[in-house]
Amino acid sequence: MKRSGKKIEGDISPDLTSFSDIANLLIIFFILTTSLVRPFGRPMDMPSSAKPPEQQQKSDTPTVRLTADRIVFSEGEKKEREVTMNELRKELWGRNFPQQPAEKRSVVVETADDVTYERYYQVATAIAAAGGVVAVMTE
Amino acid sequence: MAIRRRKKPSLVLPLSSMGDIAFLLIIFFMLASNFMKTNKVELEKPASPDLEQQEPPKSSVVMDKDGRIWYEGAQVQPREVTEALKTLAEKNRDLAVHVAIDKALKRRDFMPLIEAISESGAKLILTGEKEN
Repeated sequence: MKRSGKKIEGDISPDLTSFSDIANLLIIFFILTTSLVRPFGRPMDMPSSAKPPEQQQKSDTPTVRLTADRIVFSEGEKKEREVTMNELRKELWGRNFPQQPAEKRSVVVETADDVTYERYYQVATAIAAAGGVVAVMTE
Repeated sequence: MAIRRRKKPSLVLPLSSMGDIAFLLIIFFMLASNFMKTNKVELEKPASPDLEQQEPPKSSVVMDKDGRIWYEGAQVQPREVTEALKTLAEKNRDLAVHVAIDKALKRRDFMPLIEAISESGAKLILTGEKEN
């Protein structure tokens, strides 16, 4: 039997509607899971606690003593005084840390055991914002 | 005389370009996405006025209100955080680790974590809420 050699002519465009459905589902998934919000924070320049900087030993290193209800700022034992958060910021910014050599940027933070993280955080970020290096006092 | 009926124009919308746009949007979201691995962790971030907006985190460590440490979605010990970050910091010297700690935790709870991260050699970014 002779087969007809005539080709079937017609539109051979594939149906792509389901593809765009999948694509739209993926878009919805990514929109829901994406977080484009940039978090707020402060990069901390912290020396490793295992090796405290030599400057910590010097008597004129600025020191912040933090207890549950007090902030005591000192620069050597004689100049010890209680300060508020704003006074501490003023004191730190007055030191112009970015213009100082690296060894003079350290601020020792002595924290009592019952101090909350929020209190420590405010002091540490204030030091970092002023260009200082937070040196943690270890026992 | 027979009146010829007017042919109705066929209404075909070309939808193939819609698919292209959809795929471009997918590629954008895939590149811009940052999957949240710490969604289930309960913590209240501390507030401070001395904060700036940071880049989205590449690596993050969280300490919840019960003092548990979460790294990349899994609960870990401070020593494990040091080890993991040390390996990452060796590959990428500019590695910045976002650290979020519950504001009510006491020094004895949060300080071992801060020390563990600073020992790893990674750059530490303490995250919180911006106070105006």
